Amino acid sequence: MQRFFLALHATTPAALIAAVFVHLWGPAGLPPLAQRPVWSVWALIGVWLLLSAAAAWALRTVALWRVSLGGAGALLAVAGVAGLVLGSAQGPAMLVSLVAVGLVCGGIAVFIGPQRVQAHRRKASRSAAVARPGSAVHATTARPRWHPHRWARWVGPAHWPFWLTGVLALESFRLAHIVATEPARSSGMLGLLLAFFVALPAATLRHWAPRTAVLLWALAALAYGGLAAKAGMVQWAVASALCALAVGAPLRWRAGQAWWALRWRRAGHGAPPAPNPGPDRHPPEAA
Amino acid sequence: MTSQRTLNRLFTLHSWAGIVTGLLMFIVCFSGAVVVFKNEIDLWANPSLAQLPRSEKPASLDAVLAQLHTRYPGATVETIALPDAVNPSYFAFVRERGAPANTRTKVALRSDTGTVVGPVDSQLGQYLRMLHVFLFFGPRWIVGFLGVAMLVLIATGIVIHRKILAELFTQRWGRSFRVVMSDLHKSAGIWGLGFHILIAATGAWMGLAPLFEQGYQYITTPAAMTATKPARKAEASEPVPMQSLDAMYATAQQAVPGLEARYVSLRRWGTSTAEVGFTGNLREHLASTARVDINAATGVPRKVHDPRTAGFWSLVNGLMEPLHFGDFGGLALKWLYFFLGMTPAFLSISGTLIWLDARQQRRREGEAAQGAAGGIAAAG
Repeated sequence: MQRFFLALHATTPAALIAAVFVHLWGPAGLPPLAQRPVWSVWALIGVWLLLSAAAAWALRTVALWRVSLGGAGALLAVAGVAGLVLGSAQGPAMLVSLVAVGLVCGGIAVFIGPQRVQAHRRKASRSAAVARPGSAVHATTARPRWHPHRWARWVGPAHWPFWLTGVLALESFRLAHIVATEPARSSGMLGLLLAFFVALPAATLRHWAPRTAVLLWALAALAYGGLAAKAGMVQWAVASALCALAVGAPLRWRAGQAWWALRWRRAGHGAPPAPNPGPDRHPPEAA
Repeated sequence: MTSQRTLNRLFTLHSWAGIVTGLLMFIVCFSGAVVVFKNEIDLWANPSLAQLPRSEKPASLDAVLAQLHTRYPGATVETIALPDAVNPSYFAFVRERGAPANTRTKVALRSDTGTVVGPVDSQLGQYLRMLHVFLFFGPRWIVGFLGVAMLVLIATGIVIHRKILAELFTQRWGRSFRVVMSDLHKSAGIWGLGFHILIAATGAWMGLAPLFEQGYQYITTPAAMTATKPARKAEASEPVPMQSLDAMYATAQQAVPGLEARYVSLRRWGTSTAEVGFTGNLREHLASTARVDINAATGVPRKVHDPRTAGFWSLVNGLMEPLHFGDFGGLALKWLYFFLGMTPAFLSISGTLIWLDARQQRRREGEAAQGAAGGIAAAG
C-alpha cells in the first residue's frame, strides 16, 4: 500500500504526459476533444492508477523514482518531437522547452540514488541485530503484519472528533454542491466553512488545548443551530446536537479520569500514575 | 521563545496536515506549475490551427457572431474568446442543437475575417487547468481549502524550523535518508517561502471567497427573500432585434475605461432579456476582473464592475488571479512561476517520504524493543 501511495506521486508526470498524447491523437469514435469530454478525464485517471499499480508492483523505492523521472523525461522529449512533426504552432520552442525539462528530469533520475545517502541505517540495523542475536533476518525485510488493532485505532473513540468533522464536511458538501438548491446550497456552503474552520481546529486541539476545543465545539453547535433555524433543515439540527455532544465529551473524559484516579487511591496505590506523554515524534535529525 | 512542547505539537500538526493533504497538494501544485503555460499549451496542442494568421485589426465581433450563426444554425453561442497575446484566433463556445445541456464545442475562427475554421483539435491547456482548479469534478472550494492547509503547513513549518538562514544553505549529502531529504525539504521550503505564501493565499482566496460571499449573503438576507425566485415571465423572452456587439463593446469600454475584453458571454441572445457580458483585463493595470453586463436588447449597461473603483476588496480580488498564475510578466515570469511552482510539489513528496521513513524507523525500533524484551524474558 505504501509503495502504491508513493507510486501515485511518482507516476503523475508520466500520466499527464500520456494525457498529452491522447490530446494530440484523439481516438476516433469517441466524443471529440473540442467538447472536453469526460472520457478524457477517466482515461487520465485510469492510466494513472494502472501506471501506479504497475510501478508499485515492479519497482522498489529508488528504482521507482528513477524509472518514473527517466520515463517522464523521455516522454516529454517524445511529446516535443511529436508536436514538431505534427506542425504545431511554437513547435520548435516547445520541443526545446520539453527536452530541457525532460533533461532535468533525467538528470535528477541519475543524481538520486543510494550514493547520496547511507545505504542502510547502520544504527537501526545494529539495534535490530542486538535485539535479535543470531537472527539472519535484516530489520528492513520484516514485513508488517495486518493486525485488527491497527485498523481499530482509526475508528476508535480517540479519532471520533475527526470523523464527526468529516461527516459534517461531507454532508455540507453534498448539500452545497450536489443538492445545490436553495436553501441547501447556501447553508451547505456555510456548513462547510464551519466544518473546516471551527470543527476541524476543535478536533485538532482537543488534547492540546481542551478548553479552546470546548469553546470551538460550542461555537460550532451554536452556528449549526443558527443554520437549522434559518434554513429549517434537519441536517443542521443534527449537526448542532452532535457538536453539543462534542462539547460535553472532554468534560465527560475529565470526569472519567477523576473517577479512575479516585478508585486508584481508594485501592491504596497512592497517587495515580501520570499519563504517558507518548514518544517524542520530533526527530532530532529533522528538527 | 516557543517551548519544546509547543514545537512538538506543531511538528505533529505539520506532519499530519502534510500527510493527509500531501497527494492532493502534489497534484494541484504540479498541475498548477504546468498551467502557467495554459495558453501556450492550448496553442501547441492544436496543430490544425498553426497556420492561422494574426491580424493587426481583428474582424468585428458582429462579423464573428454572424459567421457562427451561419455555420451553426440553431446553435447557442455562449462565449466568444478574443485573440490575445498568445492565441491569434477567435474562439467560441457553442452549444449545438440537440447536444446535451452540458456539452459545449470549442470552435476556432480566423481573426482577420471571422471565418469559422471548425472545432479545435483539443483543449489541453484548459483540461490541465480543470485538473488544477477543480480536480476535474469538484467545485473550486476543494482547492481553496487546500490553499488554507498549505498556509497552515507554511506557518507551522516556519515555527518548527527556526534556523531559517542557516537552513537556506544546509545540505548534508551522504547522511541518512531522512537527513538528506529533510535538508532538501527545508531548503526548498525556505528558498520558495515568499512564493509559497503567495500561491497559497491567492489560491485559498480564489477558492473560498465565493463560499464566504455566498454565505454572508445568505445570512444577511431575510428568509422570505431567499425563497425560490419566481419563474421568468413568458412574455419576457420574446424574440427581439439585438444591438450590435461592437457598439456594446464600445459602450463597455466607455463604462470601464481601458477595458480589454478577453471574453464576451451571451445570455438569452435574441430575446428581450438578452444580456452580454464583457470580462477581461484593464490596460496598464494588473486586475483581471473588470466586467460590464449590458442589456443586449437596449444596449444599456446593467452592471459595471471596475475593480479600480469598486473598493479595496474588489481590487484585491481582481489581483488574485494574475498573482496566482503569473500571466502579467511575459514568458520569463511564467518560467519563474513554473520552477517555483514545482517546489511545493517537491515539498509534498519530500514531506511524505520523511514521514514514511520516520514511521518505518519507529516500527523497526518497536520491533527491536519487543525482540529485546522477549530475549530478556527467555533468558530469565
